[in-house]
Amino acid sequence: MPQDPDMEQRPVAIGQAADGFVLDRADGQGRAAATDKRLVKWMRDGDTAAFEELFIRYETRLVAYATRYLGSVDLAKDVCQEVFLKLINKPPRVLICDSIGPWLFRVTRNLAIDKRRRRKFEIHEEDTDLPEARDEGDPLSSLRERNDVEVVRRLVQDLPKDLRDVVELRIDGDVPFKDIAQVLDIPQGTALWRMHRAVEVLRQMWRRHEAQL
Amino acid sequence: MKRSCERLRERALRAGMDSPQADAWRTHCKSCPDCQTEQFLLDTLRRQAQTERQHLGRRELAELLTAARQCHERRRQGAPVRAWAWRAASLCLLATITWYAGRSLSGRPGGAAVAALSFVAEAPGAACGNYGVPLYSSYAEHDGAVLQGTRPGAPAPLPEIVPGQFVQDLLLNLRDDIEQRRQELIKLQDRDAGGWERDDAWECVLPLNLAVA
Repeated sequence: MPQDPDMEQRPVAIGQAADGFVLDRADGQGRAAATDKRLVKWMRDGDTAAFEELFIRYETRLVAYATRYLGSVDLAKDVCQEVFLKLINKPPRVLICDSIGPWLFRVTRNLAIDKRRRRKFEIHEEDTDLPEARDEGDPLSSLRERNDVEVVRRLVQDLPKDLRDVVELRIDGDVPFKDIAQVLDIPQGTALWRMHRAVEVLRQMWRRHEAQL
Repeated sequence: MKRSCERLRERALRAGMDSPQADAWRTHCKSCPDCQTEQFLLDTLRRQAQTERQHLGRRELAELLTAARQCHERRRQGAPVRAWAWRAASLCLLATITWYAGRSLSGRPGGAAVAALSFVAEAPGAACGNYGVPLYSSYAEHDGAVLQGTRPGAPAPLPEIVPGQFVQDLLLNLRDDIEQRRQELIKLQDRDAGGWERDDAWECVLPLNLAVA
């Protein structure tokens, strides 16, 4: 009878800790090399270190991706925390392609959109804490760089939604095209084509912007 | 934009901007202004995304780990209860199915209705072409009624014409069937009539040739 390869490679449990957690021999290196699917299995078995590894893998990328929707890093961090809470309480039963990434990004996207929608009806102070430009180099170039970033971001915002989604996932989330296809429910070729198209459109918009200056 | 530009860009996008393919594209960009612009835009976006990849605080991580621990603990405690609940639910389901199967069998010719059917063959009307519709439930029932009536002091019963349970079910099913078909016909009629209400029928404009006729 064929066995699940993930179960075969699971580190051998050597005992039950006082608080009920299974201790195993998976060291930090073993966890770092493990696939997402295996880490989720261990996490379900009560291995909090496996959860921590997953957290380290995705945390920053999820924050950056949520920031695109919310315009605030603090809110994005809240969303990221909510996403991981969801993962703890209800890990996905089916992991496609050994990766939990698409699921995490999809949940992040939904939560961020939901939060943004709710925030429209709330009274709040201006808290768009867009990150400061780096202070390296001379102030003039720093200012120019910051200005460029703002302009390019504005141009991205002006892209059609389907193109923008792909750009944000690829650039901000650093999500591979295979996973982008799963997050957006489109074929991988379409995701790649949208990225190309987005880059072309951005180039044309940038040229127009330069011509106006 | 040349085809070679697109090919180089595609490879770079697929492999990521830190890959050798991206280096090849960068080399090409030195001699291609379009690609140079595109690369500048992508690099700008990437740099900004890097600044937004921030970590959650230690407190948040600690909260998540505690939640993970508690969740596992809950699952571990709830597991035996869930197992018993499943068993009880399966038993209930099995009992329901058995009861339902027994009930539906008793309404079939194999059950109590067999007597009624066997009576049909011997019924007085059968010889005269009265097939399949027993007018008497059974000999025993009829006899019982006659016996009851012959007791001293009891009123003389009228001859009973009570169809058996099976026939009654058949008739009910038949009625249901007819009713369903009638409803379907009404629906079809409504649809074909083009949604005219009865009161509106007088106000409809007749086609010209029909009006002349």
